Amino acid sequence: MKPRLHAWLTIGSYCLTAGLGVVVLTAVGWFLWQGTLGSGVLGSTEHSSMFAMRTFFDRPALGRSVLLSLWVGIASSLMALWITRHLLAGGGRFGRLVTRFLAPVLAIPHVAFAIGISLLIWPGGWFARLLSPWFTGWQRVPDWVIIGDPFGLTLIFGLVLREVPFLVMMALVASRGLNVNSSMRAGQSLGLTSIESWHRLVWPQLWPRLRLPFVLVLAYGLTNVEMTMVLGPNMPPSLSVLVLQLFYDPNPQQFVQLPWAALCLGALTLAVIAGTLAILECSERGEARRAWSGSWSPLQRFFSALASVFAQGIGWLIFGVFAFGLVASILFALSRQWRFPDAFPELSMQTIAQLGASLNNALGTTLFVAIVSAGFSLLLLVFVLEYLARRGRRDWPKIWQCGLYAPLILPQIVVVLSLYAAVLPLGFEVGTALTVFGHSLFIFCFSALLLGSSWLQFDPALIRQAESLGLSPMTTLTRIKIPMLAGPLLLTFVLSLTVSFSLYLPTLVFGGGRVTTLLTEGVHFATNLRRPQMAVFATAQTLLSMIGLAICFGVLRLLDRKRQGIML
Amino acid sequence: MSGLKLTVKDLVVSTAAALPLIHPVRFSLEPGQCLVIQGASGAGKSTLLLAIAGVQTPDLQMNGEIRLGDQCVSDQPAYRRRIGMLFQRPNLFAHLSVGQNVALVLAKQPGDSIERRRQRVEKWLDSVGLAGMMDRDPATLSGGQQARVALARMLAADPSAVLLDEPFSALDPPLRAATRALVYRHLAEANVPVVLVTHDSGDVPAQQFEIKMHHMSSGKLQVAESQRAGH
Repeated sequence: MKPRLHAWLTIGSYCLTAGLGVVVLTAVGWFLWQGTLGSGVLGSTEHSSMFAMRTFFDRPALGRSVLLSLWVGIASSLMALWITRHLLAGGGRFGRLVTRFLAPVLAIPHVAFAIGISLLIWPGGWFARLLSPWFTGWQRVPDWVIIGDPFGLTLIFGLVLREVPFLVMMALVASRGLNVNSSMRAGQSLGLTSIESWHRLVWPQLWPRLRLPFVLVLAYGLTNVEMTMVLGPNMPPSLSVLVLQLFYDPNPQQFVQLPWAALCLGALTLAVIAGTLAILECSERGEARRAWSGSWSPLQRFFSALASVFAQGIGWLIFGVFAFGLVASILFALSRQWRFPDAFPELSMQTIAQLGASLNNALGTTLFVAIVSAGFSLLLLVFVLEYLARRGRRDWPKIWQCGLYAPLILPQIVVVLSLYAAVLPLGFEVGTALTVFGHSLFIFCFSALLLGSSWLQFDPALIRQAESLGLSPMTTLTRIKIPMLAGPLLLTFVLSLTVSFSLYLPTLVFGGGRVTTLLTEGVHFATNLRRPQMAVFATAQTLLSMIGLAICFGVLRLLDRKRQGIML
Repeated sequence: MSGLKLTVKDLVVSTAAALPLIHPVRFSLEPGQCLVIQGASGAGKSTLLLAIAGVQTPDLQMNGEIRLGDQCVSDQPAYRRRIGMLFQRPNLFAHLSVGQNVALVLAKQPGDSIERRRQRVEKWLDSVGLAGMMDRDPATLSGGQQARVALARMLAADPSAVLLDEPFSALDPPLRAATRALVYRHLAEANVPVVLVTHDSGDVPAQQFEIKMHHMSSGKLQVAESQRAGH
């Protein structure tokens, strides 16, 4: 590619990074300006920014909202990281089997997973029904607060179970570039156990590559809205849910607090990420210093082996919760009457029939938005990656990384509301087109994280070989590189679809409430505790993702079989 | 297939920061001649071959003139230069069968059909002793068989000059001798100029080609002592 194009793309990446910052600041400024001048939209000096700030920081439950966000985000991400580390350290056939089973869980949208959990462990859920009355003695649904408990324990449980598969997959992707097997063999030949070799030789190499996925998990835990709305407490809500509530509040005195809430959430997220990373970095350095103390004591070896067994147990628990949650969703979706403590309902298609038109509409919109945004993002990503590869890049340039990861690390609600505030004055109208735009932005960043290393680290010797055989760059791309990377490409596309299925806020805000997808309907029924209806939408979402994944693997197998005769 | 005279004039390779890696190199080779380049690791031998072939080396800058016959190819991309190259690794494309690896580079002919292309591929494979292996997965072949597929594939691309970058160094000694003989026989039949980079004097194709021995050190290509002494 020509140098001029490179210059433009570099400028583009700078613009993207700077633009995002400007968009956030502009949006916050716009809201502040509305409040300060008190004219225009809001109309009174009572809505000045200082007044709004005072009102916001005087909210009686603000402290609890902040503490809840902090507690849920930090606890869930650290637990997920700990489990991932010990799960991978366990290795062996059992461990490999768990990691294989975790792959499909990754494809399940967060909300569908959360609804599955709630239908399973709610006091009147399937789990309680299976154990009642013969084990629990319950004849009626007990008055326990499990879903939406004030300490957010169920939310933490759900987040941990949902984020471990993500971290495991990211660790497996990151370990491709490391020579894990030789490190393990070297460690064992020096008298270390396999678990000790993993912790002392492999993990220190893996951690720097896992830092970014961990930051994403931490940011999601701190700022997610949709899982919190299904599993988390709402009196008071977490800070991110409070931001959304302020956005939709028709009372101007509440609405003017929005920029302060967004600023507070953004600052909190960045501070927590910086603080947690600093602590983890110190801990890693501490471990490195302990390397001088020689091999582990028998007690240390015992406890790390125990931790691995525990983590593998959690791995199976994740798969179990996913499978039983899916069955519970299907049962609730098909239930006409399900009296407690019956283990199984009276099956009927009544709920699905009642939802017929809205279900079809939501399914169509979900598929349309997902396919268009995933397809567009993937095309653009391949173009950008191929451009970088031809310039000899083996990794994303640092400045590009900032632009790509900023929308994933910054609180999604802040990014979405800022973009919303930035595009509306330009004359864009909320609706499907703007929703596709919002989805494409997040999907592009996510798929860049997923596909980048596979594409950029493609064996350059094969490219040189193709060139020396007289194949043009386009032939090399279409007949060598794309077919050889068909697996990562297809997987990225399918996971991009599932990301689109999971994007709640962009759909809600850019759709202006008029774009209804399986997700928005599911959350709507979940917040109103209409269980059969929410089960229908959660099941549809899960099945859609599973079908996508099954098609992906089916196509890959077919490509493998049909290899003969394709090109001759 | 017919070879063309390969002329390299004042070829300089340097890093993006203008640090020279290859100092001005000049040589010319007629079809049937072989330039053997020996030298320590890191002397710049492989870089020189990549520069002549014109394949992607984004961090490097190249200046000088490369001619094939009467045509200057310096400004052309690698895929238009018609300079074939065998690497240390066979670099077979794993997603394609053995036959498809060869078919990939076959030029289209009028009235081409799948059956005719299969016949042409079978002919190339037969010529390197791999008849009947067209539908095999490259991963199931031995190292020697993979090297022969790489040779058939390169010959099928109809190059006018050939560069060999230690193509036998990964093979066991008995296999190495057999593969070497096969490669040189085919290249001699093709009557192309050959540039060979090797550490092993046993690789020198003294019987099939007129040999020019050179030595490379710190990016400088010089006539070898043995050549000067008239061997």
